[in-house]
Amino acid sequence: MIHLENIMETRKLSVKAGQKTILDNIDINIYRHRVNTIVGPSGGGKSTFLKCLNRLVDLDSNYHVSGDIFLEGKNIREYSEIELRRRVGMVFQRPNPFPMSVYDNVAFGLRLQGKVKQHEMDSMVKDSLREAGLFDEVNDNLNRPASTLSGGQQQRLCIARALILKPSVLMLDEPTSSLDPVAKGRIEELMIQLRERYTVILVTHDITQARKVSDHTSMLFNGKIIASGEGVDFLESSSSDAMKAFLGDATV
Amino acid sequence: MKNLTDAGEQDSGIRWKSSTLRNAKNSLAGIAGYLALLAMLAIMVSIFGYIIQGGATHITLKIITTNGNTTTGGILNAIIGTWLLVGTGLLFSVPPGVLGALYNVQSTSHGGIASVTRLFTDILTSVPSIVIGLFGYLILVIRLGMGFSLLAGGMALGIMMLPYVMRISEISMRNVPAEQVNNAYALGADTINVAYRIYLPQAGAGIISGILLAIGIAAGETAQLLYTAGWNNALPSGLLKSPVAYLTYVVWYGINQPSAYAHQLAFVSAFILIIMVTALIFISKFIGRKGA
Repeated sequence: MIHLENIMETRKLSVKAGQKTILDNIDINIYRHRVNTIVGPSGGGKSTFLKCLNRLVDLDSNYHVSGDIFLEGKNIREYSEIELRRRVGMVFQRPNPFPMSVYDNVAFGLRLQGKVKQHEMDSMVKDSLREAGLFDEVNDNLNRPASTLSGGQQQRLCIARALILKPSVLMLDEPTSSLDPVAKGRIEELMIQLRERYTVILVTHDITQARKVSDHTSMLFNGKIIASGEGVDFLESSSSDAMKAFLGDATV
Repeated sequence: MKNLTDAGEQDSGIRWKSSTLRNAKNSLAGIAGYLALLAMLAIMVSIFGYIIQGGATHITLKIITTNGNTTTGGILNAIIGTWLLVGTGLLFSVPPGVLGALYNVQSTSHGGIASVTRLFTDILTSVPSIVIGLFGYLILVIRLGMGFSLLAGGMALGIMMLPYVMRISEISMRNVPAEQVNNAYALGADTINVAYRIYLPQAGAGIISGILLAIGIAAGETAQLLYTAGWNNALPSGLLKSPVAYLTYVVWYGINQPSAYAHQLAFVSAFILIIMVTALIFISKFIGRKGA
C-alpha cells in the first residue's frame, strides 16, 4: 500500500466566466512526487484548472473563482501571487521562449528575485538545463538565441526556466501537443524523472500519454471531475457515456 | 438527355457571362486603382517639387545659422524653437502615452477605464489643432499665466501627440504574444516586471516608431502654436512667458509678406520641415520594420 501525501488540494473550486460555468465544485488531491494527470476533452476546463492553482486566472477579471485551494496545508490566498507562482511552476502548451538567449531565458525567473551572484546564477542555470535534459545540447553556446532551438528543445528550455525557481509543484499544460513524436517521447521520459524531485501535474487530452506517465489520473469533463484514481486503467472500466466517448475518440 | 445537355449549355453560358463580368469589374477596379495612385503621386511630386525648387535653391548657410524675424535675417531661432517645442511636447506625451498604453494592454476587463481611455484617445486624435490651440490659449496662456511660452506651446503639442503615441504604443504592445506575458507572470513577474522586461523590449521598436510619427506630425503644426507659443526673434529665455519661434510660423507669416526675401525664408522653412518630417517617417518605418 503506497502512502500518498497531498501537496495540494482543491475544495469546492468553481470558476465562472459571466454566466458560463467553467469549473464546477472541483475537489481534487495532488499527490507529492507523483505525476498527477488531468485528462479530458478540449474545452473541458483543464487549462483553467491549472491557472487556478497558481492564480494566473486572477489576471483576467472576467473570471470569478470560488472555493479553496491549499498548498502544503495553507490556503493559496495566504501566499503572495509572486511567491505562489514561484512555488507552483507552469509550462504552457506551446513552447514560447522569450526573445533572448538560452541563458537569459533560464535565468529570467531568478533575476526577478533580485540580486543573485553571477557564479551562483551560472551554476543554477546549468543545473536547471541538466534537469530538463537540455544541457548537453546547448552547452557549447548558452548565448545563442533561444529561437534557434528546435520545438522540443524550446519546450525543455521552458521546463528548465520553470525548474530554476525550485518549485514544489510543476504544472505542464499539454506540453507535447505541438511536438513531433521523438520530442514528445523525450518530454514524457523527463516527466517520469522529474517526479523524483518535484510534484508534477500534467494536463493532457492524450490518453496514450497518460498511460505512459500518469501515477494518478482525474478525468475532467464539462468542468466536473467524473472519475479519479490510481493509474489510468480504471478509466476504462467506467460506465460513464462521457468517458466511453472520450476514450473512444482518444484511441482512434 | 437533351434537356440535361441544354441545361448544361445554359449553365456554362451563365458561368461564362459571370466570369466575363467579373473580369471586366476587376480590370475597371485595377484601372481606377492605378489612376488614383497616379493622381496621388502627381500631387506628391508637385508639392515636393515646388517646395524643393523654392527651398533648396534659396537655402544658404547664413539663413540656417542666424536668427531672424521672418522677413529679415535667418531661421536658426525657428529651427531650434521647433525642436524645443517638439521636445517639450514629448515630455508631456510620451510618459503618459506609453504608461496609458501599458495600462490599457494589461487591463483585461471589457469595460472600465481602459475602454473610456481608448474612446477619449480616438476623439482626441480627431480634435482640430485650432481647438487645442484655443484651449491652450485660454487655459495655459491666460488662466495659468504661462503667457506665450515654450511650456504652453510644448504642452499644446503634447496634447496633440498623446493619442498617436498612446494608440501606436498600445497596438505594438498588443502584438506581444499573450503566451509570453502569461509565462512571465507564471515565473513570478509582477505587473511592473512584465511591462519592463516583456512589453517594452518587444514593443520598443513600435513605440519609437509611434513617437517619431507624432514628432513628424507635431513639427508640422501651426494652429495651436499660434495661440500658445507666439513668436520670438531670438531663442526663448526660459520656459515661461518667453515666446518661441518655429518653422511653420515662418512659412505661414512669410508667404503673406510683400517681400521676396520673406518668401525665400518661407520656402526654406517649408523645405527644412519637409526634410525633417520625411526623414522621421522613413526612420519610424525602418525601426518599425526592424522591430517586426
